[in-house]
Amino acid sequence: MIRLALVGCGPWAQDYACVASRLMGAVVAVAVDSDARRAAWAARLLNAAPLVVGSPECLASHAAEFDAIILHVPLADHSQYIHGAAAAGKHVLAAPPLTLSVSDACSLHQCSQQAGVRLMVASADRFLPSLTTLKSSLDKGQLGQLGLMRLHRWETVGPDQRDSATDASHGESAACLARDITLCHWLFGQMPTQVLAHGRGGPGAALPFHYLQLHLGFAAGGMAMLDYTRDLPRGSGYFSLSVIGSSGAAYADDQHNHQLMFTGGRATSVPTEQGLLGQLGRLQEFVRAIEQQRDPAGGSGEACQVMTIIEVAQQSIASGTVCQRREGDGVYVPT
Amino acid sequence: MSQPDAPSRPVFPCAVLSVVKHAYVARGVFSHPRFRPVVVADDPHVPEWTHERNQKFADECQVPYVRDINKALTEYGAQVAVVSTEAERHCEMSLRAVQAGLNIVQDKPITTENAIESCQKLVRAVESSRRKFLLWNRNFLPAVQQAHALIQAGEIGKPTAIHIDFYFSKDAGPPKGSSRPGDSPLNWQEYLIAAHVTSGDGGLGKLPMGELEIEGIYPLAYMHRLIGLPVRRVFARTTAHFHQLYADNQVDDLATVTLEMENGVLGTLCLGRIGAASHPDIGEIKLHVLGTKGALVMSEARPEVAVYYRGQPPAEFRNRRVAIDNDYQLMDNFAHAIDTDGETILDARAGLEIVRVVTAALQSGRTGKPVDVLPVFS
Repeated sequence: MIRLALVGCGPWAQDYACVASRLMGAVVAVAVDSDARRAAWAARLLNAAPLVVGSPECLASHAAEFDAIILHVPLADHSQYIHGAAAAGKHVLAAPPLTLSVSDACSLHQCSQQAGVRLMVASADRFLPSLTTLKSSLDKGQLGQLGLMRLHRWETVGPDQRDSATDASHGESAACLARDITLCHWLFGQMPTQVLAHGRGGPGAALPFHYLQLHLGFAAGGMAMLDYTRDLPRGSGYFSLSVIGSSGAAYADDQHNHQLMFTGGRATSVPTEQGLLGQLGRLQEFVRAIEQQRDPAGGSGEACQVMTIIEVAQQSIASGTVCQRREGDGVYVPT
Repeated sequence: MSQPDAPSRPVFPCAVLSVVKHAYVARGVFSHPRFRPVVVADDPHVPEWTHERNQKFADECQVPYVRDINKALTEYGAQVAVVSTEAERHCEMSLRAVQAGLNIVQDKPITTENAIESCQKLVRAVESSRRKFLLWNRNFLPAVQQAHALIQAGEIGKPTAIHIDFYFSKDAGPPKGSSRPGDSPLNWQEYLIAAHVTSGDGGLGKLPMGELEIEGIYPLAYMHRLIGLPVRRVFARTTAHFHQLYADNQVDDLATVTLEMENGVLGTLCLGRIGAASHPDIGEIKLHVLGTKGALVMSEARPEVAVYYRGQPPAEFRNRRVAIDNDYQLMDNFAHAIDTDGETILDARAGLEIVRVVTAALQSGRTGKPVDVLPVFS
């Protein structure tokens, strides 16, 4: 039985608590936080032991109490924790982005590989039933060669909804991009040949890139179009992902999954959600990869490539130009 | 429905200038009681199959078919010309009609990539003569009107971004990759002539046209209607992804376009003729609009009714669009413009603006670089 440590105990601990009892081959054994109250609260939810620790070094001194880490610390602290975990022979599951730079991401990837531990960088998205269904159709060849991926993600990110891993402004921008670029990379399975990105702040917003738009080109004419906003009025978000292949298409679109509610005036649409199955799938894949001593779906190698695309997108936003991947060395250059 | 007490309004005699491609435009025109055909016409030198199609439509309308455009424009009392030639003849035909003093209803696109100058002449002629010009479009579909009304009412604040998906699930002959070594490339015009029976001949002409050029007008007209801002720069990816016909003729059947508009408004367009297998109905066509106070996700197909029955042909759409009044509304808009010397919902200048965007996108697709959209008369 693999013993997991949840490092960083925010509101997300409730989601882990809901899926922990369904995990095969693992338990959440420890809830770790620098704040004693938060650690105790999460530990109660997870039926785990609380551990009050404020640094990777201190965590290393408790290494005997767990085998793997579910990492929920600020993005700027990822490197320290992952290096420490690798040194202690612990596996790590983190949300994208892995770090704030390609060089840091590659360093963590190499460090984990050398230590023989699994470093998985994935959000729950790719394990959602809707997206696994879509991907499965693509993998079975039902849709033919992927020509276009279209993604819209619109949300409201209020202070209470922010993951502590994404609380720095640069990190937030990277995190916004990382989830969806990860999906794009997962579906196309290759690096883009062209990147054009646009980003802008919201009205009165202190943080950059409340709106992001990416236009990616891939080999053999493939293309992807992604847009993200965090400026929706408070309430429901919206997500839509379509893939158009040479012989078929799949549409995972929130608009199709809304019900109607009547309480006077205009009807209200109410989404029928997919529950926490995505989170369960993510956690289970991490555990299985450890058990089977294989690279997880969403391994750190992929995370390095995603980080490269993020950096290129940020360059494109700054320069207003298309960045083209040079043949041979794979370096992106402005056109 | 006749209204006995209402003052009678003039009916506009119409000359139908070629129905070589779609008859749907002419039929759409005559869905309005104020427009009636008086003659169908074409030039004498067009191929015999063109004459046959024109004759057939003239017979259907019970009006003469004349192989002389000038005669049709001057001797039948026509006040309106309905132009549905091959795209490459659109502008030239419309220009002749305007110069003869007629108002114009023209099929899309307003012109082709290599005929911008003739389109500029047309725009100048229309504007200087104060004739009315309507470029055929879908802006009066119920969902598009609803989006327009919601935006105009300020429900989502000021629009900041618009994203349109325009996938229509039609086939176009054999799939890409089906040709064998030694096969001749599929002939564009021959294929499109044969596709007339399925109304799949929107790109009919001697010169091959990609879907961005053929169909791009519709989503770009939505943007024109909903946002109403000029496009300054575009970046596009274009490819032949689905159909051998398009690959052989080196034109796109799949395209994505980033649009940078005035005032920092952004847009994207994903468009393709994605094949009949890829959607149970005509295709996934959606409008996404982000504003300063909210956002809209609109399915262009709504409202629709689902119909299923034993023995249903596989190609029959299960979801049928209903309450479509686009044809009548377009023509009512056109009639109103003539009556009041007002504007049409998509006039010649707007059509040329859209062609400028399409042309820039095609250039971007070829060069891999962003391309500035030229002003209408540069």
